[in-house]
Amino acid sequence: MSVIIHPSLIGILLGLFVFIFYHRILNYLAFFVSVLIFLFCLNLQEGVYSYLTIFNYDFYIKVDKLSLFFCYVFSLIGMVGLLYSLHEGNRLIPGPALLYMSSAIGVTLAYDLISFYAFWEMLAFTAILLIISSRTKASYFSTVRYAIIHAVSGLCLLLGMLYLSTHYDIKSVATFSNIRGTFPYYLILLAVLINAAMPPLHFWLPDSYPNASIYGSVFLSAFTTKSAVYALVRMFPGEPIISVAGALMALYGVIYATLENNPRRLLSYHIVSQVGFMVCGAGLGSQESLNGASAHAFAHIIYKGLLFMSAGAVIYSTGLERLHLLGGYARRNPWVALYFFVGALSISGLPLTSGFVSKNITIHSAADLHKPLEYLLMEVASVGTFFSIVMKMGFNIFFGEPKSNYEVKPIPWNMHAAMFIASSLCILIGILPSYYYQLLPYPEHFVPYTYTNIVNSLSLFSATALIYFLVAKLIAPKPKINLDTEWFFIKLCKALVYLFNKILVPAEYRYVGEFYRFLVDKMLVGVRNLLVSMNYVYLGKVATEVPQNVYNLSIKTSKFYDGNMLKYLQFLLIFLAILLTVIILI
Amino acid sequence: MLNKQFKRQIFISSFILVLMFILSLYDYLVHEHHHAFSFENLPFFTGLIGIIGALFITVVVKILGKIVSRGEDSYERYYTS
Repeated sequence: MSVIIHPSLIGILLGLFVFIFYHRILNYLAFFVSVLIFLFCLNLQEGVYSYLTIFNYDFYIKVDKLSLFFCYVFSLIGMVGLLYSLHEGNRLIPGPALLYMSSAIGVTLAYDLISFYAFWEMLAFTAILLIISSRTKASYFSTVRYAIIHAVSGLCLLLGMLYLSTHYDIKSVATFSNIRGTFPYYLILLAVLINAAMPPLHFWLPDSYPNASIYGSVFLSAFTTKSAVYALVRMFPGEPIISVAGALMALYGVIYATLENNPRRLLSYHIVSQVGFMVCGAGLGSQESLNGASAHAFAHIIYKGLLFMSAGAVIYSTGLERLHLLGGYARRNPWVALYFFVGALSISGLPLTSGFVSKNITIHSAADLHKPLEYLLMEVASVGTFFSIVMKMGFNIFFGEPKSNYEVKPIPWNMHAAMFIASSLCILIGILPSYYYQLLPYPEHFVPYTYTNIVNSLSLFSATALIYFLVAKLIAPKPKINLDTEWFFIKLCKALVYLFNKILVPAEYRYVGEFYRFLVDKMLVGVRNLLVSMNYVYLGKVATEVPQNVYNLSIKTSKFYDGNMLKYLQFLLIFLAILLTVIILI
Repeated sequence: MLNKQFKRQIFISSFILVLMFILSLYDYLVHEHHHAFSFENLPFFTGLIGIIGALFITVVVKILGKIVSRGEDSYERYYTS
């Protein structure tokens, strides 16, 4: 077994160093380290390696095409994100971002269960630091909710893995198809689906990502959900439940996104939607659909990072984070508009962009496997994606008249550079799909640029655009927030509080209180009476009789010690005579 | 319902849509396809999906908005974005 230095090691050590000894100049060190990690990942060779031995237990990493594919994109977006935040003097950005990126790489390379679990938990912990990076009241509350739901995920994973290693003697990360239907299989699946933001357990995502700083949300959009997609492709390929659930998830996300007024919350719902495509791809289980899930994860990380960066740039320069207050931004800063629309067209899957060559693999494989429900749901979700991001978000931020008097401050060069790199990647992947497909885990023969595919795609989006312009007034952004499934959890917690206050507290008072009454009334009062009587009988006597006796004794002695010296002399002589007699007799 | 603000955009997107309709008709008549589903054999199927899908999302969003949308202040107690 070859031994290797873990690619995440440098990121973890220097991430901690940057976090602890933070100074703004260390932003450059963090960026430099991310470049090193990217180069390290590029040079990884396929194989299984040992990277650590503790008490004769070897920790392994497995490098294959699937893990490499995710490693490339994780290190790449980490690098771009750190470039984007280069000017920001915030301790909670560069160090935690390096740690977060290293954790995601650690998850993708982990071969033994302990490594996988350790990096999985580290991913949640470092994400918390990034969410809290905005240091607002909202971010603190979101962090608590995030921590709770991810603690559940981590616990399920730990229990599942313990069960696997003790009952099935499985100690490595591989496909779990052979134990489908068992308890640990579903425990681990639940843990992964929580991290993949599968409704109804997705509420942590649109809750926390918009509350992070604009830099934090770029990293957050990339790692947690896509690590979960990697885990699904690796461990649960062909799981039938998740193929339909993923397609529904794709539609659910776009519907909520269309309702949203907060741009980063809108984009967060699009993460739910796009991850739905990937989950569906993993669930379909064919080589093509697994390629589709992986390809879409890669493309998604880049264009979603770009969209968060451009939304962040708008927030940075205007200070506004509501669609109904913005408008006409393209006239003030056309570059940001350009970056945004490259990302928006990519996520929609328009020809010449990365989304077109990645998303269509999954949709095509659903058709090949004859899954009409998944196919139709994903098509409608594609419509919704274009409808909500390009049309609703794009038009309301960048075009039309400004809906409030906002000032625009200039954007630093590094933010421009990061968005430019991400935009270029979106277009490069879109125009050179054959190179992109070579990196995929399985051989890929899908040909995206056919006459039919291009005409179909343009038909879909031109029809959507026409409908949007006709109904734009109906779905205009409003200063509202939308309740999601967290409402059920909030209600559940309130019901628990009610249960405590109205049922358990009276019950405790009535029944448990009876026991206490006996304890207090009978036993404790008895002890108290005993002590009081002891006080009166013994201590009281001591208190009253000792002074009296001392007084009496003093009266008696005062009769003897009357001050007559001759009397003292007489007594002294008598005492000496007695003493002498006793000595002689002895 | 026609939004005057978007007159030009409506015209452009209608023009592109008609163009796509003609191109897809050409594709339908000239090329031979082996679709996985019978509904894909409809000419201009994806354009129809676009129209129906966008209308469906609009209707669902309007109905869902009535149920789940609240004023921004009403949610303040949960300290969310």
